[in-house]
Amino acid sequence: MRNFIKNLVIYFWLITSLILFVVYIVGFIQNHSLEKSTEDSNSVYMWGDSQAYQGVNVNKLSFALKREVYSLAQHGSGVYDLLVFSDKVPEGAMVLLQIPKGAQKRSISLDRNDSGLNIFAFKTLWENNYSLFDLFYIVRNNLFTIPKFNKFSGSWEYHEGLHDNLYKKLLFKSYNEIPDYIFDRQNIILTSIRNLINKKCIILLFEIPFHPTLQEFEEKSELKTVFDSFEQKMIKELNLPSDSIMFSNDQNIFFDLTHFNVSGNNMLTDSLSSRLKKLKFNKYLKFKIGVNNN
Amino acid sequence: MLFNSLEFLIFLPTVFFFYWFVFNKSLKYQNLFILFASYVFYGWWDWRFLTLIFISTAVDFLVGKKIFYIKENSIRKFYLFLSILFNLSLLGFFKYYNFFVQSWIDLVSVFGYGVQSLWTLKIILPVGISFYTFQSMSYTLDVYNRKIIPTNDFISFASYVSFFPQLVAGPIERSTNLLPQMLAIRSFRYRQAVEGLRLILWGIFKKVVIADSLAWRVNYCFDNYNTLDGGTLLLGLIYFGIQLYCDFSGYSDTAIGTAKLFGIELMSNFNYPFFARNIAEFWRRWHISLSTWFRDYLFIPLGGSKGGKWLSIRNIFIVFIVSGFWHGPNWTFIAWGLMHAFLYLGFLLISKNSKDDPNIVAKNKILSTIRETSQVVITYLSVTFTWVFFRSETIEKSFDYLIQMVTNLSIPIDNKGGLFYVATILIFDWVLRRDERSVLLTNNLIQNWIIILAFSLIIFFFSLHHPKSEFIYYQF
Repeated sequence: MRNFIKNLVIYFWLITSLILFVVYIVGFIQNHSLEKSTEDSNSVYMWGDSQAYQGVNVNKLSFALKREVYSLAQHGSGVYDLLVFSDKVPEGAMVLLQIPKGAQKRSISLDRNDSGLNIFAFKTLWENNYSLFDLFYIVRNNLFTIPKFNKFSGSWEYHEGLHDNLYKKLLFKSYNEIPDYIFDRQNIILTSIRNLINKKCIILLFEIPFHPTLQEFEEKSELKTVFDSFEQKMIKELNLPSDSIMFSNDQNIFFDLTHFNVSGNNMLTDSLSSRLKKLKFNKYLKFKIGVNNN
Repeated sequence: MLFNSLEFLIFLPTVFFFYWFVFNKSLKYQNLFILFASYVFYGWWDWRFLTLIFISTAVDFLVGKKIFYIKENSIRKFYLFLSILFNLSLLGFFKYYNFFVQSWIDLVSVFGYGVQSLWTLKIILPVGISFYTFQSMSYTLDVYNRKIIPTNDFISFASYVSFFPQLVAGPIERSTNLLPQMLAIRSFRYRQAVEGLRLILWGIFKKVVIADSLAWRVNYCFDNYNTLDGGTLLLGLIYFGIQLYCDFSGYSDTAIGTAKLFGIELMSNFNYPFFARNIAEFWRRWHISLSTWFRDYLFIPLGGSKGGKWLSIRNIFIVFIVSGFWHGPNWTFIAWGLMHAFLYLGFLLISKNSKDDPNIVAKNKILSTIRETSQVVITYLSVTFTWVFFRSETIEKSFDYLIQMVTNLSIPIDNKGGLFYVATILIFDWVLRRDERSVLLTNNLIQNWIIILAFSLIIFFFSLHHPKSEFIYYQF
């Protein structure tokens, strides 16, 4: 029995060391992959979730700005992805940062969180009440990806009416209650932005609107107050000048309740490129749907 | 509790510790602890169904004693009938009740009578009921056949019925093998325990790496068979055969390995069935504990092959149909059993005078002969075609799948990635085929450590990559 226990202890020691070694190698490869495309501080770096991925045409923006635009925006991006992004963006770069509502209220199991293993990101999550189980879950998400900044984005074709997707029910349901982790998520977003500010990045923070139907629904929910107070907190604490821009939905610019179609994508990209050209200081930009009175 | 779960990873070392370090002084306490651990293991799924196991155990314990001590044959028969009736009623109600009601309604509607299905009930199928009722029944049958003396030790008997490694998906143990081990003092043996750990590792590898990697590929083929080409559908069948084999034999190996950690030897359940040279050999190597159960307790009592040609044919059909039906309340399983009965019959007609080799193919050689290879391939393909009935939801869908596959047969367009896993398991099985118990073992200590660590590492990362999935045979 003594031999058996001794060999078991050796086995567990060896296998744990091996696993940690493999995880370290994976993290090393992922960091290398991200850093390879982030050496140029003259480029523009964008982060966001599916709204930004479908709403901003990276190629068009790059052409208009005459600078490379790199994006880490993807469907289902979580706050972990934002932390990794803020850690990997080079110092002094120009940053286009969407403030997604999804990443604030969505449960961890629906978040992507797969931008590669990153110590700073894990440390920040731990400080913001993420459990060991949550961290393990995120490690698992990251073991099988090779993340890199992209030079592409998506765009959905124009069609009459809204595309009806399977997540509609889930989306409305997510407004029924205020999840207890939402304030931790907002703190993490603030930490990421502060990290970018410390790196002397020039940041254009922006918010993409929802379809009027969902917007109306949101107005009636308690979550609206939570989102609004976070917006105010961000503007105040980070000392950001803010501005709002109205888009008209006369010609349907939405693909579904949350994403722009190609028309909305063009409008948003044009608007962002004209503002980025003149951007000298950090700014908060809120896009809205309605009639522009200015 | 699943073998491939975090709960089991905590449960097993805890039980091992208490078993060998706390309760090792007394067999009575050791068995009582095994019983307690087994009930916790089963109750983790749904504690309410523990009463079923307990009642089944108690009935067979009492009936076993009656059968043995009563001299009069007719009364002995009556008690045996009572035990079988009780166990089959349990199984019949929880597993087959709705099937019989629905089949009756369908039958009546053929004659124009519309019947509302008011009699169907919402019944939860207790996990492993087919396994433990058969195991429990084997005790009374063995006592009746005077193969074993009934025990007076209820705790040991209850431990035999509910021994957690094999409780929910077998191997279906015989009282002649497991019960005497429960009644004897067990001592820790290093070699046995290490062999057990190797088997656990090999079993989990088959489940997590091979079966789970093929699972979504199989689902893809069976969910979209209307739109796929024949080659891809053929791949779907090949993948399913391998998935089922790795899932179920993986469970069995893990169960056998776990039992070894407690000083108990369970019977083998799989012995490289895909290298069988004919269908008879296939059934000697596939789900051995069930096929030998039906051989010993159904085929032979019915007269076996000794009562002439027609009686043998009848018995073969009965055994295969019942064996198919054992898997689940669906006509597809009956059709699957029937297909195997026809294959078996065909083999008997062809091979009337040929001698059946009990050894594994090419036992002391590296490669098999061309003749043997062609026999293995033909058997493999025949068995593969029958899986369509095992996997499909209805008979109609099975035929649709087969028609779509045959009429659109071509080089597979997609879903070819699974062939890597098929090749992996077949190569491993070929290398290991001489002994199903000595897996992942070489003569070199360093090599052994490297193999064990490599397999552990692969399992770890695959288990993170795949979502946790149940074993297929849990549903039976």
